[in-house]
Amino acid sequence: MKLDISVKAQIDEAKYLATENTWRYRAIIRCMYKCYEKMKYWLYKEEIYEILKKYEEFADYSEDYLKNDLDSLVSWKNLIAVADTTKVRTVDEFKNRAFRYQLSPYTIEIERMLMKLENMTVENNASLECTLVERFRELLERYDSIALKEDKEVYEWWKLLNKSFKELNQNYQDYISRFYSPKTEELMKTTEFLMFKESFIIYLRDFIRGLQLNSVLIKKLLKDISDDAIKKIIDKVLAHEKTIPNINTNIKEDEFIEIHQGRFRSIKDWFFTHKGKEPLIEQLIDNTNHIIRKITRFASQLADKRNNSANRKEEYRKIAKLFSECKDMEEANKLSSLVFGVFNTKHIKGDETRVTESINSSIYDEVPTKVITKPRVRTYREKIIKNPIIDKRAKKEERLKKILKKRKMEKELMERFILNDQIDFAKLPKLTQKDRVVLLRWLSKGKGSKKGLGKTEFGREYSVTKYDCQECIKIKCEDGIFTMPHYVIKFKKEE
Amino acid sequence: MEVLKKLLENYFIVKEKDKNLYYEIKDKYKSFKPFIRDKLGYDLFIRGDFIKLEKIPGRPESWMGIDDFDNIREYIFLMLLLIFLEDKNKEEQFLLSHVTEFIAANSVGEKVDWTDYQTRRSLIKVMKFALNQNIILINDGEENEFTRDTSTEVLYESTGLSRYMVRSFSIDIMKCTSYRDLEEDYGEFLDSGRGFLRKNRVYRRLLLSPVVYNEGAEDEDYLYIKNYRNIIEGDFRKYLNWSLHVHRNGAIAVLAEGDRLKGTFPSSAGISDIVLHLNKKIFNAVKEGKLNRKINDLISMTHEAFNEFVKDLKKEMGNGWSKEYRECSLDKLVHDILEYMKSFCMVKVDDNINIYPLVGKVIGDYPSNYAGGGHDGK
Repeated sequence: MKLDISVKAQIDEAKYLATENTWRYRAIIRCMYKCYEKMKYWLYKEEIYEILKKYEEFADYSEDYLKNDLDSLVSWKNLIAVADTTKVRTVDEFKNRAFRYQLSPYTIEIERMLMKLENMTVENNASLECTLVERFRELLERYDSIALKEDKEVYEWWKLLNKSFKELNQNYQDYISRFYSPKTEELMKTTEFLMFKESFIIYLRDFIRGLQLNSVLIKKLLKDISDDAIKKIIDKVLAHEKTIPNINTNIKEDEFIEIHQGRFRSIKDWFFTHKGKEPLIEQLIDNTNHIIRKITRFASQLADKRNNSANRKEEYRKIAKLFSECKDMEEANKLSSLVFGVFNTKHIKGDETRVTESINSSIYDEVPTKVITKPRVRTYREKIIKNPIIDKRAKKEERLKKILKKRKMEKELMERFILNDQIDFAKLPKLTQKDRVVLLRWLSKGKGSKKGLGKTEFGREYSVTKYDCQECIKIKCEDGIFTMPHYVIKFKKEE
Repeated sequence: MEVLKKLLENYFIVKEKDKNLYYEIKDKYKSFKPFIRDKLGYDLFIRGDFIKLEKIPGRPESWMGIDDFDNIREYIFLMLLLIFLEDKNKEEQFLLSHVTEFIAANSVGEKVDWTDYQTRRSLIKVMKFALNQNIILINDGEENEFTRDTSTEVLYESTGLSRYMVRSFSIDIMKCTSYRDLEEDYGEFLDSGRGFLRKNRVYRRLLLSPVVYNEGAEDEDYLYIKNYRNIIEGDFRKYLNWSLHVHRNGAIAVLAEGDRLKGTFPSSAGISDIVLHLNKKIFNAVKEGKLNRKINDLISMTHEAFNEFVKDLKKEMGNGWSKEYRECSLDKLVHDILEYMKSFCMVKVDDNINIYPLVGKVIGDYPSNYAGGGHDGK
């Protein structure tokens, strides 16, 4: 196929089919087409307007609108406008000169196609009849005798041959493509499909057999027809075509011959390998086989499913019957557990540890888990255990006395170390462990505070100073010698 | 461990509802797979939209049914609903009236009469159960109205989970005549001989039931427990942190206080308190020799004697019970006590009331400062 201008060009005539105003354009064209069918080919604007006005949708439609619409249609070559040839007298009249409108041949063809499309879903005559192949073969067989016949007969034969090929080709395309549509797949999965699955496969097998049988013969016949012979046939056809009176078409001879040769070539391509491409007939056989396989697969799946579910349903029914025969709920519950399994488990909660691990002790012989159950009455409150306050004053006083006594002793003890309101660690006498602990406590307390100030347990304030001498001092203690830097605790004068 | 407990507590774990749990189980399955597969002989179903642990019992018990159901009719309706859903794909919608029509047209056993109030209530229970288990979802409406008005419409959709409710059987269910035939069916997974079967059965019983009783010298399950108790104990400790108490007369998986499983005794329910008190009374009576144990540790009482026993108990302890049981009739009290105890394998009822030793495991009393209780001697 060549991609020449005629294939690539935009079709202006089809523009009216997909615009915002299509509903108006199509209405106009359709009305005119109806008139055309009644052999009324020419219409005035007013006449069109009158027809349209009958419809509700056009209630608000004005003649001016119509004029615009008609102009558009004329510009897209859907309508042919011819001006009234009667003479006018004024400028206005000239401007408003009446036009008559006619549908262009293209538009008529488009309209026919549209009407076909509108009704297409209902019609469905695609089939895979092997008679189509047979008829084609029979026609081809007549070739030998036809070549020598009159132009007219050759012409008719040729037309028939082409028609039958076209039919065959179209039919198979429609049929196969429909098989690959999702809708058909859906259908093939339904159980209804099983009903005609058998006859369906027989139908397809028949077709394949017919196709294979006939294609061999057809191939042989086609091989015998040389290009020259075809040329002669086409010439005869052309010669006859010329004799048919036709007003406005001049047959372009070259083009005619080329087209018809092309047709024959595509017939051949259908049956023979052309340029390494599988002939269409092989593809068709492949496709059909594929469809058969698919059907068989679907069918077996379906049958499986149906059998399963049929069995399943039978089983369910049987189980229902078993239930109905149970003598009480307890039995039904048991059956349920065997059919559905158990829904919940039941278990004991208790102390996990046992007194004994013996497998020979009875449950009764062991200590049971004891559970406290709260009474379920409103008057019950959990008891609050009361703790009365015990008088501990005597104890406290006693304790206080003890502490004070202890402090006094400590104070007396410590004051022994204070000389001239200061304790010089270097000048201490032999210390007991207890004394040392107290002294060091004071020291660290004073050192630890920011200002180096401290206060003894007895209320005396003091400051800590360290002598800058490098040597450490040694303090004799009862439990050994304590080495430390030379510190002095200086007390404030007691008032 | 917690994940495994979730599997015990939930029938389906639906991804859409609890994504975290779904993935957690998926991630951690490996860690407890040996317990599930080898010890219990279970299979964990991990599907794209849900996870299910099929908990087939080691031995079916009367408490193992659907708690919300109290009439056999409800089980039949559930089966019919499952048949109905079999033809519905995931997300396919249907109306309550479709279900009622289907059930009426396919009734099993007695005829279905939607003008009967109880029948309508049964259906509502079944639909609610199906909703709770995520077999169906509600799109519009509310089924409660149906008890009053049969023309009530509710719009549901199927989740597709209904197909996974009933387990697959390895025996021909069509030939079964009662649940006993199914008891022998341990699923295709278990086919490697007797030992395997017994191990799985024992683990299943301990996992699902409060107690496994020793049924005598011939009891092969109990022999197994005795012989392998260290391994079993180790497993339950490792995977669930439960302890196993093996007594002469019964083996019990004991849960610790912190365990938050639904079906435990004792619980916060009012009836639990009463049974705790009853247990104490029985335990003391046994100790004092007022109640005689048989060799197998069972105590048998006539219904009359048991009624008297409960009557006394109420006199002694009743004033701290929940209002419902303080005020109800003796018949209801006895009925509820027995139902509760049955569900924990503490009694079996035939011509007599047979009290099982689990009663002696956990007992209860009021706090010592509560004057209403009958404390020993106080």
